[in-house]
Amino acid sequence: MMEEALVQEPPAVALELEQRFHLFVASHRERARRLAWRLVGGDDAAAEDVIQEAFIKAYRALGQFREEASLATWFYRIVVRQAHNYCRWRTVRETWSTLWHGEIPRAAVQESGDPLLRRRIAKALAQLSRSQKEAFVLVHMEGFSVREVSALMGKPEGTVKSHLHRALQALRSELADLAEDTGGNAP
Amino acid sequence: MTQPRDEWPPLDHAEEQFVRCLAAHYAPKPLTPARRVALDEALWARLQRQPRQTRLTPALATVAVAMLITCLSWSSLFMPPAHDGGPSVNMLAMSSTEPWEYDLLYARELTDIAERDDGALLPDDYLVIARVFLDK
Repeated sequence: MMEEALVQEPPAVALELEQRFHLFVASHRERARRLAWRLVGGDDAAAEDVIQEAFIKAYRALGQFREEASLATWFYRIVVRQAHNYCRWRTVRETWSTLWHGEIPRAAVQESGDPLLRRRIAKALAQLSRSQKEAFVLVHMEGFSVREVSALMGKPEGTVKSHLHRALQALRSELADLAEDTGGNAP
Repeated sequence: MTQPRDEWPPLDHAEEQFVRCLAAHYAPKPLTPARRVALDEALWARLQRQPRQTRLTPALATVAVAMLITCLSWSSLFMPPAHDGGPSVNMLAMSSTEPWEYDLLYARELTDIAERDDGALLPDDYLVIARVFLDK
C-alpha cells in the first residue's frame, strides 16, 4: 500500500521507511489519540482527524529524523498544534453557525463512564488558557515530564511549571466538589 | 520518551488524587480492533492520495494562471477604450486642430456655461461669410 507513496525513494530505503513508519504508528497511535481527544474536548472523530494529519506530517518528515525520540517529540508537538487549530476552527464555525442559524448542537460525543462529570472536566479545561490546558493535559494526564513538555511547547521549564501550578489551582477551584471528594481542599 | 519521576512537578497527596481522578474520568474508550483497522486504512488511503495531489497542484495552478492571463489580455484587446464619463478628447486629432477649432468643438463640454454665443468664437472671415448667408 505504501509503495506508491514512496516512489521517490529507492526500494530499500522506502521499505526501511515504511517499516519505521508502521512501528511508529503502532507505538504512538493510542497515546496520540488520547492526547488529541483530551485537547479537543472529548470528540472521537475530531481526535482521529487530528492524529491522521499529524501522522501524515510525521511520515513526510520521517527521513529527516534519525532518532525515534526526536521524531516523537516533534510528532506530539504537531498533535498539540493540530488540536489547537481544530479547536480554533470549531470556535469560528460555531460562532458563525449561531449567528446565522441559531444554536446548533455539537456532534454527539462518546458517552461512557460518567458523561456529566466528563463534560464538567472538559468545560473546566476549556476555561484554562491554551498553554495551561496543554501543559496540564500533557504532564498530569498523559505523563510527559516537564522537560519533555518544555521541548514540546518550546517554553522554559519554569514557565511550564508556572502553567501547571495555575492550571491546577483553577481546576481545583472549578471542580471544588471533586477535589473534596478525592480528599483535597479546594483553595 | 523517558519519563523520569523526578522531572515531574511535586504534588501533595490530595493534589495527586485529584489529578488521578481527572485523568481517569476524562479519557476516551480504547480503540476496538475493528476501529483500529479502520483508522489505519483511512491513514494509508490519505497517504496514498497526498503525493498525487502534491504533484498535481503546481501544474493545475500554472494552467489556471496561464488561462487567467490569456483571458485578461484577449479581453483588453477587444474592449473599447475606457470612458470615465468626462469629455472624450482625441489626442491625435488635437495635434492637427487649430486652437480656435478646438474651442468651437468643445466649448460646451469643457466649460460650465450652459448656453453660449458660439459666434464670438468664430474667426473674422467665417463671420463675414456667415453674415452674408444667414442675414439673407
